[in-house]
Amino acid sequence: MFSVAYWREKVFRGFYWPLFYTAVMISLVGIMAIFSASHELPGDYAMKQLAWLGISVLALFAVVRIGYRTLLGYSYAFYVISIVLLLAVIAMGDMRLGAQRWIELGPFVLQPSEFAKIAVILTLAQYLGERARNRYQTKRFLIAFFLVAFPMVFILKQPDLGTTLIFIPILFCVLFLWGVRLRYLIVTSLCALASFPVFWVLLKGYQKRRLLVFLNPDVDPLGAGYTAIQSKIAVGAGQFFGKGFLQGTQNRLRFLPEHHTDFIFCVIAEEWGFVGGCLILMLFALLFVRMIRVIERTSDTRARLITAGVVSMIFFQVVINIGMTMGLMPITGLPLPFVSYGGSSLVTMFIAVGLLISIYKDRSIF
Amino acid sequence: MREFGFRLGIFRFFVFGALFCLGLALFDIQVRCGGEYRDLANRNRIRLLRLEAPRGDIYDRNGAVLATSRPSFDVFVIPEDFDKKNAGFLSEVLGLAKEKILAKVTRLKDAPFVPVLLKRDVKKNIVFKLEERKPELEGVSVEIRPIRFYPQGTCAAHVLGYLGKISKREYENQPEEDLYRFDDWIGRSGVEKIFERVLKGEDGGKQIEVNSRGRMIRILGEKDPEAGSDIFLTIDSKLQEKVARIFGERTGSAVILDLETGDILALVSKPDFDPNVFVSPREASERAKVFKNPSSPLLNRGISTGYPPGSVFKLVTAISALETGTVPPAKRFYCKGSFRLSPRSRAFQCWRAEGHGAVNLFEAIEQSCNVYFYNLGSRAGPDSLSRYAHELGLGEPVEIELPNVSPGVIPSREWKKKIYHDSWYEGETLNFAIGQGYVLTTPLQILRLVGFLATEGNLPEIHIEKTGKKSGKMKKPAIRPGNIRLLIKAMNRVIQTDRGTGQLARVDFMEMAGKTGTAQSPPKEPHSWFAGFFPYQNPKYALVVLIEHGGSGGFYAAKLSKEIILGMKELGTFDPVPGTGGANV
Repeated sequence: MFSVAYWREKVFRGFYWPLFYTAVMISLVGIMAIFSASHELPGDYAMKQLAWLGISVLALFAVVRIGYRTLLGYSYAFYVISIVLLLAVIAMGDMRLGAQRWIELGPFVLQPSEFAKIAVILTLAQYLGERARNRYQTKRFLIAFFLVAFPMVFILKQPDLGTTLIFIPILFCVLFLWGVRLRYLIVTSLCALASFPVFWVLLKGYQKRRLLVFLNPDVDPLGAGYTAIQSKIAVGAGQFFGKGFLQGTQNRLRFLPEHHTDFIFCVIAEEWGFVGGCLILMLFALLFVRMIRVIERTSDTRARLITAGVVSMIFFQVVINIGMTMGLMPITGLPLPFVSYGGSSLVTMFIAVGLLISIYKDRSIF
Repeated sequence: MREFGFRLGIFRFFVFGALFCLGLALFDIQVRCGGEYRDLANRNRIRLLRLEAPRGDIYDRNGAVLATSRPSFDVFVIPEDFDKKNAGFLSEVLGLAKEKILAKVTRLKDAPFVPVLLKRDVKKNIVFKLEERKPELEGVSVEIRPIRFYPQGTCAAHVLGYLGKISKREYENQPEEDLYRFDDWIGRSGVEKIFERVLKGEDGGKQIEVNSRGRMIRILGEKDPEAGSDIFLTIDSKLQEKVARIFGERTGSAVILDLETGDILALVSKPDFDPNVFVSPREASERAKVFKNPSSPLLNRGISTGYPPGSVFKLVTAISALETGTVPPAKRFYCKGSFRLSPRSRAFQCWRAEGHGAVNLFEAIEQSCNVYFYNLGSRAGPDSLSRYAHELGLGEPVEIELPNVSPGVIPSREWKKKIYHDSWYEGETLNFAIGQGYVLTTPLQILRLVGFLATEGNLPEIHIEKTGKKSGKMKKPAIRPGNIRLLIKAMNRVIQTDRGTGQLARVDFMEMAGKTGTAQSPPKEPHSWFAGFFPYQNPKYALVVLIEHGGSGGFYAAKLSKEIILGMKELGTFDPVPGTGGANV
């Protein structure tokens, strides 16, 4: 198991290196940004993230070695485990930033909602992929809907509005590429719009405030509105070439909260300007090009659905996070994939990439 | 398959289209409007001003102010704008060490534009000195902020509670985001703690842009603070003050309950404290005195700590004997001054060494004969004593709008096994029957017990907050009203006959019912109890008095109760009110 030949045979044969490199590259850019954002803080965040990157890469290799087919076989088990973990978070989770999203295991802090995303994608792919789309569509659609809605309830309870909402586009994209009739998606969207007032009542005070702030930053000039204004100033102040590495004042003077996690893009935009911002956007574009290539290479419906789920998960997080820093989206507290500081998020992203590489590799056997 | 290719095409178009739009938006913000934002960032002279929500006031039942806010002059410094050569002058005027001031303003790591508090609640003449030098003192400002103020000082301090600075832990674990600031105040006990969220309100804020001299140019955003709500208490501050004065320097508690409404009219705990000393920095030495006082003035002796009830507990013993039918009320037991379980066991003493002779239930309660109740207790047994004690609310915390309500202790066989890993001894039943040994009760629990008896079980829920709503009834104890009537007849004799142990509480203008207690607490003097209700025919009020190590209950507590009742009369409590025909407070 430790010989070079073993790895060459089991892991690296037919390995999709370009996708791997792109993911690692985005992560390295992220680590630089984290360093800039946090070098004045105690805690050595950049080094920790580098260590997490190491762990993530190992996790990716492990996923590739196991193979997505085996993992799909356990998808329902993963689903149940992640529900249990989510419940555990609610039961014994640490109170941080007013939210319970963590489980502490010695030095590690686990965020089960991150892993739940993978589990849900696998479960959806397994459930829908094994069933033909030309019969019993209503039943299939409803079951898929509840498979996704169930964990969402617990994540919303944590409360983590951002992560909860990300499940919706994942479900839509997977269903869309599975071939669900469009009227189902349209009717669901209309129902969602109609039920918005009910949903609104269930939101916590600060969540409402954040959404209101998106419409009008003056609603809460000290809390969320303040962040919205300052984050936009940070991005804009970068101009074309940026202020240079470690030179961002918005960031140094702590006008921004959470700048090494949710607002990491502000640091990049302020210090590296439009050039840096576009670089990140282009790296993500490259990532998606390579991921979509994986869909085209496989004829296994389950594999296609996994890929669709992974692409939509990463894509919507990117759009919501970057949009949020520019004031185009409400502030919901979602990390920027591969870039934001946070072990659970990074490992999850690499596991997702590992799944795709495994799909790519599997194809190459034929 | 064609269908899949088509859908994938749409998906792809969507993904890359959105990324392209993000790029365009980035171009718009960074390149087209970048200059403007760069400008804003460079002279990021955006300040946050917190607009503190005024804390709600606390009033007594008649609208007298018990807790409010007064203006305090606080000196602030904005580190970024502060010239360090002024530190010497500030240190002289404010009486702070120069190093301390410099240390406060050089914590650059924290936001340098956020004002740092140098000194709270400074005197007016200091404010004038600072204002005179204003042009030179850039970055220094005096703000008027509310500070908690208790105009009546120690009056009802234990009910009101006091405020303290929020701790790091509380700040980090606050229930709602941004509710508290790191230097905020939070209710630490009493009503201030229980109604913290209601009293606090919600802070507002202003985001303003200032010029290089720190003057405001424009307001970028503003949110008005939401004032905290006022709270009305059932306490009558005049009566409270009077009872506290009558209680004097003794240690203990006195509580008065309105039996018709469940309102607590007075809750005195002694020694007391002045809650003002916790908020003003000028009172640091007073504060230290309160904390270091060995007789713990912060403790609310009325609700938070249990005492052995002594003979007051005989009411419970009597109830359990009557309810279980073990002893008929007319049965007499002979008291020769002591009681033995068997000829060879130790003698349990009656308080009257020469004995009470043959006594029935009425005489036993009236004269508080221990031997009679030893007989009752050993016949009823610890299980039914424990059961009826719980039925009457002992061993159960009183539900009231105050924190740290002690449940007291009512022992049982299981309880003893769990705590002492030992079985129950018969001798302990005897101690149990006269309210000694393991039994602990709070004065408020005894008050509730008396209230249950006075109202034949129809006691309203006990309140300290006056809401204007009619309060519901408490769960009715499962005890036959006939037995309660027997008992209150006996309690009437305690006060109104010349052999009654509580005769010193007797007043000439109405009849009462009550029970005394002298709870042994060696090596010190026993605790002195009196609990009763009045008027006897038409009960309106219940009263409990506990004097810690006060000596004989029949003597000291009963005498003190009489003074309190006379005090109530002086305040017009028992005057008929035209139209209502009843008493009024």
